[in-house]
Amino acid sequence: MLKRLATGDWFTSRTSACGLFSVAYARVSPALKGELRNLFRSLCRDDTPMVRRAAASKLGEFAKVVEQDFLKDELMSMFNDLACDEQDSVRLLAVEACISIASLLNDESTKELIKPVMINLIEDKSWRVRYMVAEKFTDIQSAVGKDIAMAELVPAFTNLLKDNEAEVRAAAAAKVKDFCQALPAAGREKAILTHILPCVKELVSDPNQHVKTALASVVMGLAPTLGNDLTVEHLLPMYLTLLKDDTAEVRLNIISSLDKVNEVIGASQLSQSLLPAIVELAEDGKWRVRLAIVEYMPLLAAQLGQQFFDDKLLPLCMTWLTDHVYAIREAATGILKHLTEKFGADWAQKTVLPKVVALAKDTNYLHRMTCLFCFNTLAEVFGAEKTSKDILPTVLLMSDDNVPNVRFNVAKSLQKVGAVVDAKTLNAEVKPCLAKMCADSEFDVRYYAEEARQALRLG
Amino acid sequence: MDDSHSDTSSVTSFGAPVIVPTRGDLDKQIEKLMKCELISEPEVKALCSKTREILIEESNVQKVDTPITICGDIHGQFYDLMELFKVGGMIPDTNYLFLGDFVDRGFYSVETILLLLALKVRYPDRIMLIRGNHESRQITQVYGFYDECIRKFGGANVWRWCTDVFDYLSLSAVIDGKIFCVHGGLSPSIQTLDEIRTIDRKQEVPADGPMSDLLWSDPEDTQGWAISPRGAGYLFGSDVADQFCQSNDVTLICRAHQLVMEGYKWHFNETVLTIWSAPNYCYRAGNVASIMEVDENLQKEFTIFEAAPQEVRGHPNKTRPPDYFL
Repeated sequence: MLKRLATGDWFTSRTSACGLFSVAYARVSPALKGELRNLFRSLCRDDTPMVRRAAASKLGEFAKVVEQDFLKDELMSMFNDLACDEQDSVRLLAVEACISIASLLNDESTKELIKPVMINLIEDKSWRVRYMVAEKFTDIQSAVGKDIAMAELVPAFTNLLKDNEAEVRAAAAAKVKDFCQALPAAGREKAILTHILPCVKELVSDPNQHVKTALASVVMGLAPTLGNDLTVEHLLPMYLTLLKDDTAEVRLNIISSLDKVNEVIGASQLSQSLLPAIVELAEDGKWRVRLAIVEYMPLLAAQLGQQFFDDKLLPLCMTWLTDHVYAIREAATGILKHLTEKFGADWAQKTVLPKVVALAKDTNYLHRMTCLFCFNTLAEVFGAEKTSKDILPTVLLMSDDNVPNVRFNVAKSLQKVGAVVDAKTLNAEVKPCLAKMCADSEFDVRYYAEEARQALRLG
Repeated sequence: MDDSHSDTSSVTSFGAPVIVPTRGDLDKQIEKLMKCELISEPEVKALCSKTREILIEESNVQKVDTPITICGDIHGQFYDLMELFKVGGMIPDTNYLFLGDFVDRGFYSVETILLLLALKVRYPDRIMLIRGNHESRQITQVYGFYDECIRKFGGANVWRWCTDVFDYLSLSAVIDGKIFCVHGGLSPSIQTLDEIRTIDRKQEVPADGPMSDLLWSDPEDTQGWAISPRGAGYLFGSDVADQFCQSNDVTLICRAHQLVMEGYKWHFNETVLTIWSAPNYCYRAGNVASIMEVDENLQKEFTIFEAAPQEVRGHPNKTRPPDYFL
C-alpha cells in the first residue's frame, strides 16, 4: 500500500505516504528497506512542493528508525536536498529535520556533515526560515553540542538578534536567556559580554514592541548567570529602561520576574536604583502591572526590612486596599498575611489595623467588604486575644450594614473569627449576632449565618 | 421552530420533571464552568428547568436595589467575562445586572450562558439577567450559539433548553426606581413602565411591536422617532428620552446593544447611557469594555477593562485534519 501511495498520480496520496515510512520501515526486510529509502528519496525530489513539504516534516521521524550507516550518507543527502529546496516552506520544515538528524549523529560526524547546511539555513534569505531557526535555536544548540555552539552559533545567534525582520528578532530575543545559560561555562561570560549583550542593548530600544516584550520576558533571567557586579553594570540600566517602556506588557514582564534579580544584587542596590521605578509603577494605569507590583511586595519587604518598608511601601499597600479593581484589593488583602507573618502581629496591630478598621465606614460597600476580608486574613495570624479585642467589635458592628452583601460577609467573617476567639467570647458575642442574622430579611444572609452557626457548633 | 414559540412545547422540550440541583451540585457546576469546562447534558436540563422557575417570578420591569454593578453585552467572550469578574469582583460578593446578549459571536457562548444561569440559580438575589436581542431562537441560529451547541453537545437539546429559558428572561429592570435598564431602548408604543408590565413576554422575540423595540432600538441624535437601519426596533431622539424619564420619574435610561469603543457612552445630556462589556469585540474590534458600579446613593463609577491577555485564555479546540488519506 505504501508503494502504491508513494507512486500515486495524485500528490495527495504521495503526501500521505510520507507519514507512513517511519512506521513501515522498522517492520520490513533489509531488501525492502532499501527500496523504501529510495522511494523516500524520490519523494524528497518530487515535483510538487506539497509532497516535498510532507517529506521534509517527516524526515526527522524517518531518520530515527534508519540505521546509522544509511543515516550518514543516504539521509544526509536527502536532507541536503530539502535544506536547499527552492521553496522556503520546504526549507523551513528542514530546520526541524536538521535538529533530529543532528541529535542522532555522534559529535564528530555531526560537525562535519551538518554544519554547512545548518549555517545556510540560519542565514537563509527567507525570513520565515530564519524565524523558524530562531524559534528552535536552543534545540539546535543542544543537538549540535557545545563546541559548535560556541564557535558557530554565537555569531549566528547575534545575527538573528540583529535581523532585519522584527519577527525573527522577537523569536531570537525570547531565547536569549536559555541560549546563554546553555553555553559551556568556559568562555560563557566572555561570549555574553562581548557578543550577545551589545545586541541585547540594542533590542531594549527596538522600534517593535513585540521584540521588547519577548526580551523583557527573559532578560531578567540573565542576572544569575552573570552575577552581582556584571548585573549592576550591564543589566540594571536595561531593566530601568524597560520598566519605563510605553508598552504595558514590557513593564509587566520585567516586574513579574524581578525576583530573579533580587538575590543577585542585594538590598542596598535594590532600594537605590530599582525602588523609585517600582513605586512609580504602583500607580500604573494597567491593573495587571499594579498586580505584579503588589505580589512583589512580600519579597521586597523581606529584603528591605521593616523600617524601610513602613516608610516607603506601606502607604502603597493601604492605597491598594481601596483600588477600584477587585483583583488588586484581593491581592493587597492577601499580602497582609505574609507581611504580618514577617513583621509580627504587634506590627500589624499598630500600623495596618487602624487603616483597615477605618474601611468599615467607607461609603462603598465593596470597600467595606474588603475590610472584612482583611479581618479574615489577619485573624489567622492574630491569635485569640487580639482578635476578640481589635477585630471582633468592628465585625459585630457591621452586622447591621444596610447592604446584604456586607451582612452575609459578616456571617462568613464570624465563622473565621469565631474559630479563633475563646469559648466565652464565642458564646457571649458571636452566638447572639449569628442568631440575629439567621432571621435576616435576605436569604443569602440567613444562609451564610446558618452555615457559620453550624461550622462553629452553635446549633 | 414555529410551534416551539408556544408555552406547551417548551414544557414538552423539558419532558418529565427533572431532578432539582442542590446547592452543593450548583457550587460544583459553577466551579467547573468557571474553568470553561462543560457540565453534562442532564445537568444542563435540570439547570434550565430550575432557571425558568426563578425567572417566571420576575416582573417585566424587575425592581433591583443598589448597590449594583451594571454590565453590557458579553457575546460568548468567556475569558473576557472572567476578566470582568476580576475587575468587578465575584458573585455573590458583588451584585450584578447583565443587560443581555450573553451569547453569539464569541467562541464560548455555551459556557458563558450556562455559567450565568448557574449563578442565577445559586444566587438569585445577587445577579439579574435581562433579555437581549440575541436571546432568541432566530438570531442564535444565525450568529453562532446554535452551531456551538451542536458542536459541543452533539445535538440541539442544549440549544432548545437554553432558548426556552430565554423566553422567561425579564425585559427590563429599574434600579431604586430611578435608573431604567433595558437591552436596546425605547418603543413608540410604550410611554410608561406599566405598559411594559402588561406585555406577555414568555415567547420568542417577535419581529416587531413593543417587546421587540425594547430589545432592538438605539438612541440617535435626532428628535422624535426614526426607522432603524437594523430592520427591527426604532431610533429614538433626545425628546423621546426626556419625555420617558419625566413620565416615569427616572433619571437615566441605561442600555447596551451598541459597540462603543471607549466602553461606555453618554447620550442626550446624560439621560441615556450605553454600556459595553465585550472588550476587543469579536476578537478584532480593538475596543475597551466597561462596567458601571452604582452605589447606595446612585453615585456612578465606571471601571474600564481590556480583553484578557493571551496567557490566561484557553485555546478553542481545533481538531487538526489527519495528514494522510487512506
